[in-house]
Amino acid sequence: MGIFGGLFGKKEKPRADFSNVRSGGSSTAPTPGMGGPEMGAPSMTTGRTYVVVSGDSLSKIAKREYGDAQKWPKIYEANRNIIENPDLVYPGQELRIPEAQGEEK
Amino acid sequence: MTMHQYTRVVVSLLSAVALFSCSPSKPVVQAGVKVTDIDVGRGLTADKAIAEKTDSFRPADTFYVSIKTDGSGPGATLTARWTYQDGQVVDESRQDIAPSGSAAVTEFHLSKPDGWPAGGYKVEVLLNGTSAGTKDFKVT
Repeated sequence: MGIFGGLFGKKEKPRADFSNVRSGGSSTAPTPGMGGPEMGAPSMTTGRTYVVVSGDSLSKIAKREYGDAQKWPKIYEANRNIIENPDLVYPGQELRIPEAQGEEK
Repeated sequence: MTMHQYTRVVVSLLSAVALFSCSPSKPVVQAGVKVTDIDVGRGLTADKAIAEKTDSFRPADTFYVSIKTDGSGPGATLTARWTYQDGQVVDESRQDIAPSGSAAVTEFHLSKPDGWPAGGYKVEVLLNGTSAGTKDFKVT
């Protein structure tokens, strides 16, 4: 192949595909006003979301997010579109975490 | 040296002093809020600190970055910009916060259901659009 083989025979490494990346975030600080963030980026995540990791359950997430495992139905209700069985959540699932202040005490 | 020339020299010297006093090494403080610490790792504690600090992840891991801020203000925007070793922006997420106390913790996380490509990654944290620090990590 010679020079041309060296120039054209090399295969280019394919670029990594990050199109299915899921992002989220939360803060101990309040958000300005009552609404979510106003400035937008294409993949911006607003409000509180949580990405399920290995070993998670709804009650564990409720304990972490609200300090009370018994509040898991609140998370389940907010994510009925993606959770079929409340006993089964899968790593990588992105759950919406409703604000705790909406809770009746 | 005439009086006019003397004035010119003094003005030039003052300009130079003003320029050098604007050092970029000052901590990033925006609207009364400053970033005091940035950690990367796996999992979060209840107070949104990193449960397991690391700079080496597995393909199935979720990346977490935890940002401590100090001060208070009516509104500040934290941005996490994640990039891959080839320069691709993997994700950019923002959160608007209005910290009212002395310290607050904000976390961002990133997952990829089919696993992360091996290689080097970087997360840059910006406060109101100004870089407040970066963390490098890798996936093996």
